[in-house]
Amino acid sequence: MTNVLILFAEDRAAQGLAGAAEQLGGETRAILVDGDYQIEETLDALVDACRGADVILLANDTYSQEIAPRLAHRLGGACVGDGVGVARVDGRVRVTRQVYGGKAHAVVEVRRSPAVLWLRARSFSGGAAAASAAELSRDPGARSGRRSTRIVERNVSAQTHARLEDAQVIISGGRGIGGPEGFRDELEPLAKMLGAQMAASRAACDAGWVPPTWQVGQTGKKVAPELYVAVAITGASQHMAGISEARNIVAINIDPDAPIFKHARYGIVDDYRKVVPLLRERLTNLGNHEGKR
Amino acid sequence: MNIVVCMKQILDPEVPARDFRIDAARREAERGSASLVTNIFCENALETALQSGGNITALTYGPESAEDTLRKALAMKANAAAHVAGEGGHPLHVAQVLAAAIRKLGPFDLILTGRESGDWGAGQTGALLAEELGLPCVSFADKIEVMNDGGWQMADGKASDSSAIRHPPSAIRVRRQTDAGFETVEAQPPLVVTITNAEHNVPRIPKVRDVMMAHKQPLTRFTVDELGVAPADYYEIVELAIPQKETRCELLDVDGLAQRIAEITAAL
Amino acid sequence: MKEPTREIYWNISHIWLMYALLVPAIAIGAWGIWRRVQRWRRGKADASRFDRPTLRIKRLLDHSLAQRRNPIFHRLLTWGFIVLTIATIIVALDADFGTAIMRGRFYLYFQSLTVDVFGAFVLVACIALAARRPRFTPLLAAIFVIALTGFLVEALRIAATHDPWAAWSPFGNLIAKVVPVSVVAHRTLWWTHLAITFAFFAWLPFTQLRHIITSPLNLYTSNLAPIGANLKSVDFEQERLGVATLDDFTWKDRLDFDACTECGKCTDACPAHTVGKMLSPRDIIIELRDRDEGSAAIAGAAAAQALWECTTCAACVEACPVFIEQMPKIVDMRRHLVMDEADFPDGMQSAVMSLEKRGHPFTGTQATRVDWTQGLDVQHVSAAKDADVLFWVGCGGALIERNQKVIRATAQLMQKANVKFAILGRDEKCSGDPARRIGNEFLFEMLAKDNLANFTKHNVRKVVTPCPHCFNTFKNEYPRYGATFEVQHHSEFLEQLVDEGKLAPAREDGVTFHDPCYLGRQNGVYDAPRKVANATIEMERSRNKSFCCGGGGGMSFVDEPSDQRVNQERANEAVATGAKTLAVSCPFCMSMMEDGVRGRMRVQDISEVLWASQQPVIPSVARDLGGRGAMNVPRSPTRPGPSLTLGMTEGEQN
Ligand SMILES: Cc1cc2nc3c(=O)[nH]c(=O)nc-3n(C[C@H](O)[C@H](O)[C@H](O)COP(=O)(O)OP(=O)(O)OC[C@H]3O[C@@H](n4cnc5c(N)ncnc54)[C@H](O)[C@@H]3O)c2cc1C
Ligand code: SF4
Ligand code: SF4
Repeated sequence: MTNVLILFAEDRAAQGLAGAAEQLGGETRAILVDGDYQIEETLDALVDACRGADVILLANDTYSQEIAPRLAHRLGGACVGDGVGVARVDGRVRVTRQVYGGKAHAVVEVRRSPAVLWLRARSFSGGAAAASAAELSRDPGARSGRRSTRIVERNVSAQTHARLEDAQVIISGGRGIGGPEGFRDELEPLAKMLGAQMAASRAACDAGWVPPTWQVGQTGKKVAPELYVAVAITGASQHMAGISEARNIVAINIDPDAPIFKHARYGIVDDYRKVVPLLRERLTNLGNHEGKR
Repeated sequence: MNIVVCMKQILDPEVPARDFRIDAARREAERGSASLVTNIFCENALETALQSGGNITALTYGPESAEDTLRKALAMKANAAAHVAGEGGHPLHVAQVLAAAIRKLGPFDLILTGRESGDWGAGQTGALLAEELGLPCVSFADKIEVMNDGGWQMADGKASDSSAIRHPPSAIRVRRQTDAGFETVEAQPPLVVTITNAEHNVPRIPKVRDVMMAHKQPLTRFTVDELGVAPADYYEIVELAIPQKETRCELLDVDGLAQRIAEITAAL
Repeated sequence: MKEPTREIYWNISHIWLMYALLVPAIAIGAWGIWRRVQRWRRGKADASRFDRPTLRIKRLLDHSLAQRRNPIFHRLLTWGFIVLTIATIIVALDADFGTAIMRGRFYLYFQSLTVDVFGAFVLVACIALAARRPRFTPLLAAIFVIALTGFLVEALRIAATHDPWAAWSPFGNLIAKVVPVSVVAHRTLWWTHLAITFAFFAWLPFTQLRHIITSPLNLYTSNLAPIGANLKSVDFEQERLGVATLDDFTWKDRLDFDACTECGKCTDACPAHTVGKMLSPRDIIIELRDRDEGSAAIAGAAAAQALWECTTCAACVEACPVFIEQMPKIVDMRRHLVMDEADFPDGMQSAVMSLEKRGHPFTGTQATRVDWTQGLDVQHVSAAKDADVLFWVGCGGALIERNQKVIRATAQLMQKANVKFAILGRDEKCSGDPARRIGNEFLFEMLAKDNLANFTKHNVRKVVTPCPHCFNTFKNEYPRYGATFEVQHHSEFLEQLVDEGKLAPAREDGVTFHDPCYLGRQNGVYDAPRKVANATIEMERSRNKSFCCGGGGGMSFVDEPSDQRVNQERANEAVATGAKTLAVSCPFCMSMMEDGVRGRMRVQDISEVLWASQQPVIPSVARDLGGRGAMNVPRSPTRPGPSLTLGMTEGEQN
């Protein structure tokens, strides 16, 4: 059995994919797709490079998501995307993934070979990275004849931040923050540590403490992060309307009766001015430990 | 320019978690009190088509109720609509059904789909459809410009530029979203494009007059058998479950919270 | 002594000249009126406006003579105007038809004394009104000059003739003492007075003073139903839906325009205007009046921006002394924008889209329609065949978390009073009120028909609801689709239960009450909610003059600029009373007021106030509720905080 990992650029995802491959068993080799990605050319080349593989693993970047189903089709296999778990049961590949916007999860069994999977690579514990990744060799005069698309311009967004809607982690503050200083001195350092985006309730936006584009809720942005930390936010339904897709809500609020606690998975009832600095400290320590490991 | 927009009716993704039920044996979601709605990315796709101007056919594969999706598309001013009656199936089957219908309805210069559906979220229909039809494909696009008579025509939100409707375009320019920002892709039609959402392709709200008219317009109807699509193996859902989510709030101290946050962020 | 009278046309010759002037004056005036009448006649048909004549005459008298909505000075002006006109007609009768009315006591009491006093009223009223405006408008000036020249003519006559009955004209007599004896001056002034008066009447139909004629017509044809029943129905076969151009208004709308006195009472009462928004109902009416046939209706003061600021609170309708229906016209124009143009604010668009998709106006809510029933024994209508009452919860009650407590309180009160009630649960759909006020009549009809089919299926005879919007819609708008069931707002129903002794009256002190527009002003229910909550403190603006919470007409789905929020203005007013509790009786008022008071006082629904007074606390209820429900039982110092009982487990669902 052979597994092929397809990597676009030097991807942090490599370890996760290698880990998934280990779970599936078999030999693993990796292919690195270099800088000039052109959809049809790259696909043609990958079809050649992947022949004979049983399992082909990709990460969850846009190129992988775009290529995976087509690669499966060309190789006569089947594709499953957005996997968070893989297993081999009676010789067949099974993938666990979330469906219905996270309301349910499904196990999908692949009935063709090869199985072409794109995975949330970070959900897998790292495996020994494949010794080396072979560069994909491409034949500019590929055969499929579908030469008719060409990426003519690549724009790396000037914005260093991802859009709030796409953020994985969000630190959000409400009126209880008390002023722009609280956002600047307490929440922003926390957000930096976690690589998080900042957001706010309307009350905080209205007060002029933070820009109106930060507003989350019925009349603000609708977000879907893995982690939403609501600091000094009551949790009015108009606010909650914006975070119904958030996977994990953490509430920090001084009032034990605040409705936010009904929606939160984890909570602390205390003054955020005490909690947040401590939290940063603990997270720094935890980070250091992991670094040493 | 002839455009076909493939659209899917799904269970309302906004159904409250507490109202969401599944039939574990049949491995399907139960309709319950939830509504059926058009998948949002399919509506984004229709909106993008309407903005680039052309003769637009809305196509759906689904049960009888999916007619609502077509009526809504007609109300938004799609020019025609076609319904393949049938239900379910894996992405390959769906792509084969749509490809067969498109061959009958065509020819088309542009074939649009949503990037993924809000129910199963497989995200494969557009790509597999391109393979079935032997066409190139661009994914995650949010804007389409058309080259006509030597000039690029910006989508201006007004659907009925007559020249755009009459002439097949000589080239198409697609803006698509990537992890880092966006890319511009130039392409020759025919071409499959999967559409994602952006500020500028929020589906328009139809006029009531058009909603009323839409109910009187004829639909082209097919069945899967008529299209001659045989079932094929692809994948099977072997398990469907609602995760036993902890809906209660666990009150922690700072240490505990830091631990949990570290765990969640580590898994990203 | 001779019989009291005076010589008509004393000192005046060439009376033919008067008739020569009268003919063109009447002709011009009549032509002016005729033009307006033609304009009304070009309008579209309107609902019945001539039924129940006795009621109509009563309203006409109440508001044209008694003028309940006008300040005293305007009443004096009107009465003066009427008395002087009658006196003039009597003079004409005696002079031209040989009658002898102006004699004896009648001459003394009416033709002399009354006319003299009311003439003085006119002068005083003109000055007072000019001071309020604050300027002497040309029209007021004209009336003032007419009255003043009238007095001078009288005074000159008295001075010159040594009129023995002069004392019966006290003001004229007073002036007579200071004017010289001059027949020339008298004659000159007489003709001047006459010329100005004739010119005035010829001019009148071309100015807003035409309201002297139009407002009685408007009062007679005004809407007799509660304001809540004011909106027109839509004929979907029409080429245009709603009002796009002036042509789309009905004859009554056009009469409304012409009846406007430009007094500005509507705009003064308008909450949107008060907080500094563009909307001014007065300017809308005036501009539409002055627009040409066929021109676009939605422009200028009636620009889309202004139309989308209206909360449909009907303060304007209630304030208008001549019963102009401003708010329904705003909704008419919205209908065009929504149904023909699909051009309306984003927030309202998502509300409409959600109504279409899932039968409630909220986006992204994770609440279900039965969340509030957790731990309460509440049955679905299909399982409770013997229920006397359908408890209609409403979207705002079921799906806005804060209001779930209100619904629980109301349900528990009914349980305590042994009311057999049932709910529709997940089968409830929005009553359609937001769709209708936003302007999507098509969607409203669909929702209304769906709900009615459901009511019929379950044989519903009586509905009780805590939502004034649903209440108004059921009561005033569903009958058009065949509804015959009885509907009560929970305030009325709870009041009844208290009166019957089934519930203890509220004991809470320091409660002020905010009237919901759709319960109070639009349906006339003012006392019941006050009684239920024992609300004894009144805000500055209350009852029919109450100030909107800002949430009606689809406004609770859009974000207002932070310095122009109606709810802020109202919340500040509530806080200013010094009351401990602000009682509301509408789920939307609840949201708006909670957002507005920002913790400065407690906001509770009247049912929560009443529930807190039910003693002793029923232990079984407290136990059933567990930690969650503790919020619904009267506040105790030992309320548990969020504990592991928060939320609910999957197994609890039904
Ligand atoms: C039509 C409409 C639309 C709306 N749309 C939105 C929307 O899109 N988004 C939105 O967010 N809101 C929206 N709102 C407003 C919403 O109703 C609430 O008023 C708002 O969300 C409250 O914001 P908040 O929780 O920050 O403030 P508050 O309700 O004032 O809550 C402050 C919280 O901070 C806590 N707190 C105070 N001090 C501390 C401390 N030192 N440490 C910890 N906690 C502390 C308090 O206990 C309290 O829970 C809308 C309202 C309306 C009427
Ligand atoms: S209904 Fe209320 S908000 Fe609308 S114009 Fe009249 S007073 Fe103003
Ligand atoms: S509409 Fe009525 S209240 Fe408003 S200015 Fe005219 S007469 Fe006055």
